[in-house]
Amino acid sequence: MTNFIEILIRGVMLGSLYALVGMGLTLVWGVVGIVNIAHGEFVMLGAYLAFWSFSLLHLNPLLSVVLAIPVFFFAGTMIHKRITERLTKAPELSALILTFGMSILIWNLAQFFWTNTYRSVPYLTGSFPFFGLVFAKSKTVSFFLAIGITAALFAFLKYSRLGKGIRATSQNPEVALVCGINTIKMRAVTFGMGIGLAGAAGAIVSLQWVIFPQMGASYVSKAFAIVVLGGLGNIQGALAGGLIIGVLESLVTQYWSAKMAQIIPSMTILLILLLRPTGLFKR
Amino acid sequence: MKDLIGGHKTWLGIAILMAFLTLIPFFATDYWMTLLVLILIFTVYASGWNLFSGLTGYTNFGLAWFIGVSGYVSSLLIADHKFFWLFAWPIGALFVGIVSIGVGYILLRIKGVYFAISMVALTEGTRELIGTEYLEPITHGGKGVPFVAGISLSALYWSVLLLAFITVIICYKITSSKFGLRLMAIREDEQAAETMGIHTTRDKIIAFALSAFLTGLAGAIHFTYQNYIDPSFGFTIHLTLTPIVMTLFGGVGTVFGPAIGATLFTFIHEILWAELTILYMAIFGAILIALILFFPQGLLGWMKERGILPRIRKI
Amino acid sequence: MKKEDKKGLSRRDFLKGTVIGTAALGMGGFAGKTVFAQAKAPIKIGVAISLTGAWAREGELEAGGYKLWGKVINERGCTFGEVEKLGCPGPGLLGRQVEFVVYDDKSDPSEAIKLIRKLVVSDKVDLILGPYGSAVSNAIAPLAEDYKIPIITPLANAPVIWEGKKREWFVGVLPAAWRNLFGCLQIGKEKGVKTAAFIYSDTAFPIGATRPLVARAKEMGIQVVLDEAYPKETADWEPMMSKAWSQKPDLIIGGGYLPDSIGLVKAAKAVNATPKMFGFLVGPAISDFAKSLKGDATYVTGETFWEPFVKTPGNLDFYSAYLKEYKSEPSYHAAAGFAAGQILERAAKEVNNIEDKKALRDKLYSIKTTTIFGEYEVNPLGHPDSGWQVGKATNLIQWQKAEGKRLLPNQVAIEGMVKQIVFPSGVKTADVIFPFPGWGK
Repeated sequence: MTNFIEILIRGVMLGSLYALVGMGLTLVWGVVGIVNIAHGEFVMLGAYLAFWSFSLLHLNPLLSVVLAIPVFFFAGTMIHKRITERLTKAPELSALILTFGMSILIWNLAQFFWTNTYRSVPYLTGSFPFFGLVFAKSKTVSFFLAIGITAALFAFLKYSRLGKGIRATSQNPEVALVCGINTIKMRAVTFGMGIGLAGAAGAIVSLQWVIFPQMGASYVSKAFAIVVLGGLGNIQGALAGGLIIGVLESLVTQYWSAKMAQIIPSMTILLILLLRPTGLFKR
Repeated sequence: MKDLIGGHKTWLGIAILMAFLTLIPFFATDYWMTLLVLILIFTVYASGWNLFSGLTGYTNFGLAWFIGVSGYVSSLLIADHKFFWLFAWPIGALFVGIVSIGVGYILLRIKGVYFAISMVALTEGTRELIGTEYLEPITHGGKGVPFVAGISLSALYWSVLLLAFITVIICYKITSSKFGLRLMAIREDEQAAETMGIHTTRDKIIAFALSAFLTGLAGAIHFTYQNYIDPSFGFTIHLTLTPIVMTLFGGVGTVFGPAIGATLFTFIHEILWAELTILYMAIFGAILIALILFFPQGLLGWMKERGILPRIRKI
Repeated sequence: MKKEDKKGLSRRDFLKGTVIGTAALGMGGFAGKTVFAQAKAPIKIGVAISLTGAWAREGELEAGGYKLWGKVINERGCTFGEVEKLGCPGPGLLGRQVEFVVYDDKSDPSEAIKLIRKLVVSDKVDLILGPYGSAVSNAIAPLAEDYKIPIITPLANAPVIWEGKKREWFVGVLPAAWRNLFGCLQIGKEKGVKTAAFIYSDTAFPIGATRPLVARAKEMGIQVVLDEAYPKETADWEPMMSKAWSQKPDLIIGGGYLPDSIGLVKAAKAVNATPKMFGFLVGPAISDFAKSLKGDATYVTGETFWEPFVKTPGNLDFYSAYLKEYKSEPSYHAAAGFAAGQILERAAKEVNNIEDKKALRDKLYSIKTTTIFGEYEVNPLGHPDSGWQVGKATNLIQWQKAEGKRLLPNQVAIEGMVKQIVFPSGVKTADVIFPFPGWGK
């Protein structure tokens, strides 16, 4: 039984990280209307940011998480203004192909500059006992960071003027425009926030996993599952979806097999789309 | 529809090209033949994708699923059950064609970008399923299936040339048929098409299964050529994306666009980028971005608009 | 809206960027190729190898080994160790400069097939050295038979390539997969372990290496509490390691490649797994492993095919030449690549030309030699598994603390640790530290 509880909690911790990645994706998708396949690459860049500031500047990786948010936010808004804003009226396929192009452009450049060497940040490694259970230090800290960022995001969207504008743009861009909301700016800000979340998630990931240029791909399928599970553009849904995927992965690996656990994201997508073929977003 | 591809002169040109291509093995080197084999395989992939997605507007992001399933069935038949390649290929293709009738019936109710994602999920899920302990006794799991089909390069070349020819003909016939017009009606407005009495579900499924069969046949040949299949090669996202990019290059929804795209794309890659190994993918990515931003109607479409190529009436 | 457009990236800007990028790349591409001054007609050696994609790192290191061999032979006429005894007649192999034609197979077997054909037919290369990995090697092996051109493949050892295939033009350099990590079981048995858990990547090489080990463990009376392959796409190994450790086994054995090994050690520490011994396939022997894990790598054992300090003939010279050329430590990939060159060198010198491909091939199948990488001997022609390397033994290494130890030549301390060979006893450089003392000890 202790084993079960331990594995359950580890799943929750894993899920909080997935949720962070998924929330960025769902925000951009829901508000901007762009399916960003390059989302995982920004996670990778966030991980490298933490790695390089740790190894070159001896910066605490937890500070990198805080640093990553503005840096990636700014980069995200710039990318949106220069490139992806043009796609908001183009067919969906265009955005898929363009962001796919962006994805391979980014990882290949990362490979070119930083080589394929596998890296990791040896900080907060190891475990600590907690009432007879054992938890990883890095995962526990990541969990609280992820929860903190999520709470800040909720508060921002709910109470700030900008956040309200974003929600209005997401619900009905035409009406929002008529009401005097600068929807172009809102979309750029949202895109920036999505990328900022990915960067922060990446900086957190750097504590736990191996860093290499093509690492982003492993998060994309899970992030898609989370978005579909939680509902398009639904932040609360993405949080719940991330936790569900994390817990399932942990439990299925333990009590069934790692290969079956790997199938969960794709099966989730198929199952949900079959039950709700027109999509999940309730407008 | 006669002026669709330019009338008799075009057909004469095609006949000459075909005769030339048929005779290639008698004078070309193995390298050129290999290059042509790949071009032709990708022509079928791209045309197969275009046949369904270009006409119906349903973006199929699971082309690799057609290729991988058929590739696996045929490779396993050749490797473990000693089937002759000529019989193994159509069995693999028929298998994926028939299965995709069922898959299409279920998944084609899903619309827009969700359909694209569901096809990606299907591809990923199948890839992982093949590796699981339950299917491993049949599929050999992650170890992969190495095999030698004992087919000569010339035979391989002629097979795939014939397939590519048939595929392009089918695409032409369909685009200029009532069936093709019905598919395009689905693309423009599915609900309106249904109201007008078009049996949209049936037509979509037929196009989907036909696309699966043709692509699957090329996939079976592809893995025979490669002597090897494993889950990550069989279902890699590149098998989906490269043909889509080729189609975008040549022009979506056109008859010869995919073939021209595949040819141009492979040649440019081969000639220009053999040297630029390290940043090859970055350039590929930059081209994709440029294509979408600046030439959304395809390179050929753009050239036609600018008057560099003769204008042909759009479908 | 208009203002917005102006700010956006214009087509011209984009093209300009791309053109400049492409030009810069062109130079990068050429710099990557080894081109030597030509006196006589050079010997052209073709290489289609992974420089991008899944095996880019390994392929790059292997190609580095090839190029170093080419450079040394172009300068001296011979390389190091046993081949040196055949004489050093001055620059070049048989008096001709060695020139490489290198293409990137993008870690894609389909691409590799095309490139091998291109090398043989268009570039008219004289000889071919192999790609990285079992998957690509297996795909191109039939081409060696088709073109009757011998191929030496240094870094492929999946049984499917040779088992019962009667290959006549395709020889290997790595020891067979089923010999890997046997040291872990042997040491464990001697120290009286009772249980073992096997967790490994679901790809050809780890399966080929681990499954026979599981069978052997059972034969030796060690109870196998877990035998599970995890998906190749795994990014977080904690659930898997937690599952293995929930059985509290004495040995945790498996892994796959470098990221697996790093991830598994991180996960083991994160769930506080403390078995008596950890043994992983590829990874622990590579210096990146210790550089990235730092102190946590201590006491982990792993399979090694080669070490800078093993006493193979010419190894010290190879090490210093590599260090001078690339300013970094060679890995076993580079050593295997270099060794493939040496095997070719020996065969070519004994036949005394490279035009007679059949004589060269016969020589490759019959010589027994020792390179800087170790013994080379393949199953002879006519054997059902002909071409399969059978001469080379494998070793087990363990990372141990460097302080207070006298280092062998070329044995470098990384992050305060050194690699020690702990098995087999004939070549060991230190006693194994057993059981695992715990994290941070």
